[in-house]
Amino acid sequence: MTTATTSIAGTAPINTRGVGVRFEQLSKRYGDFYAVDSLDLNVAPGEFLSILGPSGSGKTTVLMLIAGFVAPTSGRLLLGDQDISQIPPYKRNIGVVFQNYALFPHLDVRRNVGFPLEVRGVPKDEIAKRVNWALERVHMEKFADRRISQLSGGQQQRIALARAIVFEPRALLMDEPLAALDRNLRQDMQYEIRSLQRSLGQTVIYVTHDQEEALNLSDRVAVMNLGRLQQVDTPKNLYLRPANPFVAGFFGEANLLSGKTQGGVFTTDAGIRLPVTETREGPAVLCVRPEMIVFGDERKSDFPSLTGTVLETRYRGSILHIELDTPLGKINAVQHINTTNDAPAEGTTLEFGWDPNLGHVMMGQV
Amino acid sequence: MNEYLLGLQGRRVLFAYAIVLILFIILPALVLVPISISADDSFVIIPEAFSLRWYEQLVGDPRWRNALVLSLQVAAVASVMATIAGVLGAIGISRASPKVAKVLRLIFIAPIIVPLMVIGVGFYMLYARMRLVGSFFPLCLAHAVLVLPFVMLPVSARLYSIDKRLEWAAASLGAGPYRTIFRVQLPLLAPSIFAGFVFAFIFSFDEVVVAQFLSGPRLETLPRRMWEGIQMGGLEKTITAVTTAQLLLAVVAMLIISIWQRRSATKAVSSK
Ligand SMILES: Nc1ncnc2c1ncn2[C@@H]1O[C@H](COP(=O)(O)OP(=O)(O)OP(=O)(O)O)[C@@H](O)[C@H]1O
Ligand SMILES: [Mg+2]
Repeated sequence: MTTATTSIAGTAPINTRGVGVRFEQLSKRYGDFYAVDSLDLNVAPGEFLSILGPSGSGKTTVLMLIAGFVAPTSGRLLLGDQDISQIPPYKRNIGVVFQNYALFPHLDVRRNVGFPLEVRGVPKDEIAKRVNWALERVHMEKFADRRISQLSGGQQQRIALARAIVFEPRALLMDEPLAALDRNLRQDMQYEIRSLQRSLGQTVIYVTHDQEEALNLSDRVAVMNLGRLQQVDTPKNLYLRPANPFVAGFFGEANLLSGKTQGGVFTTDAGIRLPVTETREGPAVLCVRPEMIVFGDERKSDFPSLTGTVLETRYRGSILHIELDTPLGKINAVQHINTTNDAPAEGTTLEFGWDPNLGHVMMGQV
Repeated sequence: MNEYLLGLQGRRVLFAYAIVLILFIILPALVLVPISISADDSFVIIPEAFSLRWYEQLVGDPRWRNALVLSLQVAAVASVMATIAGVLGAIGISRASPKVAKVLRLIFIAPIIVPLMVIGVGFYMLYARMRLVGSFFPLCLAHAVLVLPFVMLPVSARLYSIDKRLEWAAASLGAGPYRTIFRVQLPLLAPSIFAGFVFAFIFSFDEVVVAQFLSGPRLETLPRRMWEGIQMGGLEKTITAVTTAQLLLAVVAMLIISIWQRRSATKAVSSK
């Protein structure tokens, strides 16, 4: 067994064991309410994909559809190149880690982890070997003979993880697996889940509503809202190139300006003209992140030149937040604090702008 | 809370009430215990000499013995049938859609709500037409219907407290529906199944109304024998031996149930 405990986000998997998952126009309707609405999504083999979204956005429903616990109303679901929409959950070979762990209370740790092998009729000595292997992977080999009731929450989570990987599932689903753990433990577990996934080349679909967790762990993040997929992209692109105002507002702070764009000029609803790199034309929303905003001499000649009055300043750790009243409306800016700069006094007038290359235009959004 | 609400006086009254109530509940059962082990024929509550002659009579006298054996057989067959049907029914209902489940649950619980007399007459008319009055298995079947709710109720209650996700987890790990029932659900339900079985057995063992209708001249169950004994020659002391034995049986069963449930409760709680 090759170890890959040092590799974390960004390195290539050593071997790829997982298969791809593809959603084609998959919908789940309850009455006339769409919990999942025409989902199109392609998860690559060995990819770590997070599903992120506010409460009720349909994240759990997506996982349950993949696992087979709820049946889709329409659409297709492919595991590798096999349509699994009609296959019962126990024949899908997909590992699931539940938020509450769902370990069997009447079985000890060893029997819990061995359960999927037992039901597959694996010989006893082979089961023992594989169980030990899985327990080692989650650093729980010393706990093999414990009862489930004798384990802490974090330990139970590790056992649930071991049980879900021991039968080499084609994909691994996790529904907010760390939500019940405290912050430190959560970070340790994030690291371990990620390195385990890397070393096994496991396809993982991971539901969370913790942005930081999604960004830390994932190759790509799928953002959902109201049952609809908003955007699937790398953490960096979700931040810099959000597809719509919902995604822009979901990841960090954003100054959103609505208007229309034409020939490299964005005109706000109030008629202010701003330079952009977008060459398409039509109604659009311009997204400017607070940290893109620069003041005074830091501005270059091609930056928009605007003035604003300081409404409020706040220190948050090493970062200074400045709220400005401007012709564009309220604008939020942040600056890194170094020893030479002081917070501008309230009421001060500041000249500001941003690099037009960084401003991001979202077409067709109002 | 009560201490502040009631005051000293109030607490004394409440305590006295509780004692009286409890005595009233258990005394009728308890007075028979000393009577059953007293040597003489009269019904004195504090006996002078002890003997097991009434127990000997229960086993020794062929009429009593036959009644005892028959009742044990009926109770055993009926409660086993009810347990199998009740457990499967409870699992089935837990998987049905909420509307269907509601109706089914009502049907399964009905034997507890409908008066025994009504059920007795109903079965009697049915069996009379089919010439089944006075036969062993039909009587067991009728008793099985009667005691079905005693199994359904505890098993359903337990099913609802078991996390649905354990079932899902089993499925995701490759266990089909039957394996999930045998490997996950039944082990977790075991204490409540046993409890249901015991309630069913005890109820059937001393059920007299329906038995009266269905046993015809040939089948004399123990409660029927007791009933007839009382009607014919006044109270026979063998009856006190029967009731004491029943009491003992019930107490032992309850002890086993409570110990078992406490142990499995600590297991189940930790999974949440
Ligand atoms: N069995 C059901 N019947 C009717 N509506 C349902 C059912 N299950 C889920 N829903 C609805 O579908 C929507 C999506 O639910 P889902 O559990 O997928 O949300 P979620 O994104 O996982 O939310 P959370 O972050 O709170 O877990 C919700 O509005 C929910 O009320
Ligand atoms: Mg959820």
